[in-house]
Amino acid sequence: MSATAPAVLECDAVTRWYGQVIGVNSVSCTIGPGVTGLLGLNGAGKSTLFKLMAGQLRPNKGRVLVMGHDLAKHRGLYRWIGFCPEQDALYESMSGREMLVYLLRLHGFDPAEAARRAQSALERTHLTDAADRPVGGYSKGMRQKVKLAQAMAHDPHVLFLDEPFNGMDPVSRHESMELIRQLGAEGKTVLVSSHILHEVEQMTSTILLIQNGRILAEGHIADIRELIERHPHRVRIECEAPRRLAAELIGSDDVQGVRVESDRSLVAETILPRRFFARLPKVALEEETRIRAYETLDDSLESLFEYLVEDSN
Amino acid sequence: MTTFDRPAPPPMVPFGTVFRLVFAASARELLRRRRLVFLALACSLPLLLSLMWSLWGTEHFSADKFFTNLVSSLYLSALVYVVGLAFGVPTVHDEVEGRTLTYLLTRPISRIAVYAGRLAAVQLLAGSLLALSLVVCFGILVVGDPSALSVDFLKTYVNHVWVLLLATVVLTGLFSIFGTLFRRPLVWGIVYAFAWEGTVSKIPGQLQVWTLDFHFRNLMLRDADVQNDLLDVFRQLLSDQTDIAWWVSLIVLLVALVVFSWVGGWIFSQKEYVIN
Repeated sequence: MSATAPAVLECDAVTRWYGQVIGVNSVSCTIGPGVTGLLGLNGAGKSTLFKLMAGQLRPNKGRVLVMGHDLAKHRGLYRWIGFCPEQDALYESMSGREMLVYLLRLHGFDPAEAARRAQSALERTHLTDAADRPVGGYSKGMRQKVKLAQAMAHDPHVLFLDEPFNGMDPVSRHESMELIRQLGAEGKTVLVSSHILHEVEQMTSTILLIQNGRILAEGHIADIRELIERHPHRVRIECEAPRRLAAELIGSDDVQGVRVESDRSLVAETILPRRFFARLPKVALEEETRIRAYETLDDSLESLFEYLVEDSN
Repeated sequence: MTTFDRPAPPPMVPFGTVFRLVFAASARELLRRRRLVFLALACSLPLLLSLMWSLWGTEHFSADKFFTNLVSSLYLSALVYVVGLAFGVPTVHDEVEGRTLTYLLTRPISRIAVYAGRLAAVQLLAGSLLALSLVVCFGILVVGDPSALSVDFLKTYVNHVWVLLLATVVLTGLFSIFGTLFRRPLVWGIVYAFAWEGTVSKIPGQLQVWTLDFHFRNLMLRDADVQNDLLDVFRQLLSDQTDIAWWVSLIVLLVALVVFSWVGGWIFSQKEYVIN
């Protein structure tokens, strides 16, 4: 997040213990409008931090502020918050529409306004056809959409979406990702956690990485990439003679390592990418091997995450 | 970080609105539950016994005596506890087990209003179920022995019905606390109902005063012919009866009802629920 962006959501030295085990350790971060991805391995403290931010858990130390107010002291702040939980739990005997209207009415909307907003949320999540059937009979993807719909139906400023794509088919996944992007573009603060990293990457380049209960990195992917310059860039090269090319590349000081993946491709690790990319065509020419394609692997969120976790460990 | 030009925090939704909405939703949800069938079957057991009485027992027991014994040995000893457990324990526990509590806890509403709405719904349904059973029971007894329809019988019937309904709402309130507080509320509820209430209330001496069962029975019109079981007979023989005025028991139970409701609501408002 840029230094001038308003802190819609702020964690101030938030710590949470589970008995002797620390879940989140003195986490401080600020999150502004737009979509932010919360990423972490299983057990990293991602879910705990998510629940602390959404007021589902109370910190042992520190505080969470939403628009400058302590969520623990002002339950009225939930008018500005939408929460899509990870767990696959709905009011099974209600229809999708009934559930949305019920939860909207708990936000203080009158019956007509609640019905109107429910219809709008159902349309935005492409659930209108099934809206009047009991949610107990919904598919996993439809259930996820109901959870998403109830989180956004009251038009909150801040949205917490915990693993919102679990169980969705590719079409629903794409639709929901587009919806989340739209919500971010509308100026809402959307915090989304997902274990499928490339999905987060498709929605946002602003991320929050957590490992061992601490924030490992936060900000734009490119900014974070700068922080880890000492890590080599990985480049996959598809060519006719990968072994011959590998032997030639490994001899240079700009290459740290080469791994032959198959008889058609290799992965080179370089700490001097500019010099490497300038030299690569010459080497290929000298070795008389045709390069069909190459791609840098380091721009992907997953590799970035792996680097940071390795570094942290 | 730039200081956020923060707006004032918005107010919560009024208590009454939340209470009404949660009450209505909970009542609808409870009516769709399968456990209602099981409870209806349990509440039909005294009806079966009443039918048997009307067919073969009218010469041996009067309707008045049969009804008083039925209330003492079945309704008050077992059914109010079964209904109280079945409705009271899930007051909050259903939302926790079903993991839907998150939806309520992320709304701008008072947790106490949620608790009060759900508790009122379970108490209304628990009371209605038992009342229905008692009304049908009355009908069977009167049809079986039309001469039973006397002022004395009506007096006994009305007295027993209101005591049973009071017992149901008090116990539902108590078991709601169990459901709010414990991980295995049903186990604790059964232990309480049948180990504490079921046993201690039958021990002669002052200890029985600390059971709800004692106060329920103390509100009932006395009948020397009513004995629950052998223990009750022994208790009478020991002649160490604790004599407390009926109105004291009424106050004790009304205070218990208020305290149970308040404590349950307070625990629910303070407790952190980790739902995964």
